[in-house]
Amino acid sequence: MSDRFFDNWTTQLRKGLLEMCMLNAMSTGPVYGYDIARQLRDIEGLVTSEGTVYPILSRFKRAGLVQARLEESAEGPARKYYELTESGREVLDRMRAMWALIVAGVQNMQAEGRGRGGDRR
Amino acid sequence: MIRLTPEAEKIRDDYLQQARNHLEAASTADPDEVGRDLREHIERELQGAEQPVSASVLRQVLERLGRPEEWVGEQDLSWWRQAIVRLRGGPEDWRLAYASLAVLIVGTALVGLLGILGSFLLARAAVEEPPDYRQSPGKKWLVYPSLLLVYVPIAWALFCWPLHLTGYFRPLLDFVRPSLQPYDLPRSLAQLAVSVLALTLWWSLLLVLVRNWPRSLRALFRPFADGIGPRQLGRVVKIAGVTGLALTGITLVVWYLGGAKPEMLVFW
Repeated sequence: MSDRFFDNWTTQLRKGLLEMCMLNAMSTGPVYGYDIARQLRDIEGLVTSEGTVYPILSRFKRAGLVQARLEESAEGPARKYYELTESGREVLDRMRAMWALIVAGVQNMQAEGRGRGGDRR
Repeated sequence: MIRLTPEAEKIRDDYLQQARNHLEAASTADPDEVGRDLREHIERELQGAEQPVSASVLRQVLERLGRPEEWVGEQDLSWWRQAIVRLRGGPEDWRLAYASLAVLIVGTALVGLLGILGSFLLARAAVEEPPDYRQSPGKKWLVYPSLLLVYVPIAWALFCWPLHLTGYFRPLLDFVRPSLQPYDLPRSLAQLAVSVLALTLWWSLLLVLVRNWPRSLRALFRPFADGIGPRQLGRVVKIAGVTGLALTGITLVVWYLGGAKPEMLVFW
């Protein structure tokens, strides 16, 4: 039962985080779609299936958060690069601010919890 | 371009088709675009692998890509698809397929056409969101009878209606029953030429339409038309057009050389 509960929790946690990380990956400039998948693969525990990235990119594009363009490649067929639009940047800034608030709040709470645990001992 | 063994190629195509089916169900992402991205991802992952790439090497890449049904959240589906997903979730995931066959047999015996219709709806629901449909080939024998009973008349009506306009079946009857009515060869040839021409024009128009909107054909005849894309349809347009026009020309020449008069073209 606890395993199932934990699995559900991690799925929910990953979902929102993955979207923020993907926008983050594009924050410094255009990124090749495949490289986004690879970067995220390197973050332990974030991506369970690499294919998840592509429907999300397509959804971002539909929502106007990113734009894509094809660029010729010396290694083979043209590659698709994704970059943030103005509205994508705005959303990312708001996500970062929200994330910072949540992390600070959760860390405070955990620190208080540890403090209370120490007092009791 | 990466070369795959035939087995690996089939696995890749099935996987991409499965991904498309799931993405079409969700409609939050563009299935064509994601399909291209996935294909590109697979190619990149296989760069440097020994060629032709074997099925086992490809499977490792697909395993890392994950199961397409995991990419689409249930909340992204429309309410009726969510209902189907819940209904489908059962022992071996075959409930709808069994129900379809049962309704076809029992329902048709009890309520006739309504039974076929009910069975068809269940069969469509069963193939609509097939997570592992292609990996369960036995399931098709449960749903194909209901699907074919409806698809065949639709296909006939859609593809062959010009034959009814040109009266193509009359000369066939004349031919089969020569004793009832004398067989008029020039007239029949003219009718054949006009019928072939009418079919050629209609099919060409139809194929051009479907080539631009292939999703409509796939949706209409799912899962039989799942693998049909614009490229294949383009080829069919060309072949059908050239063959049809050539047949019409040959038939008209034979008809004219046989001593027929142009007025005979007005026969219906």
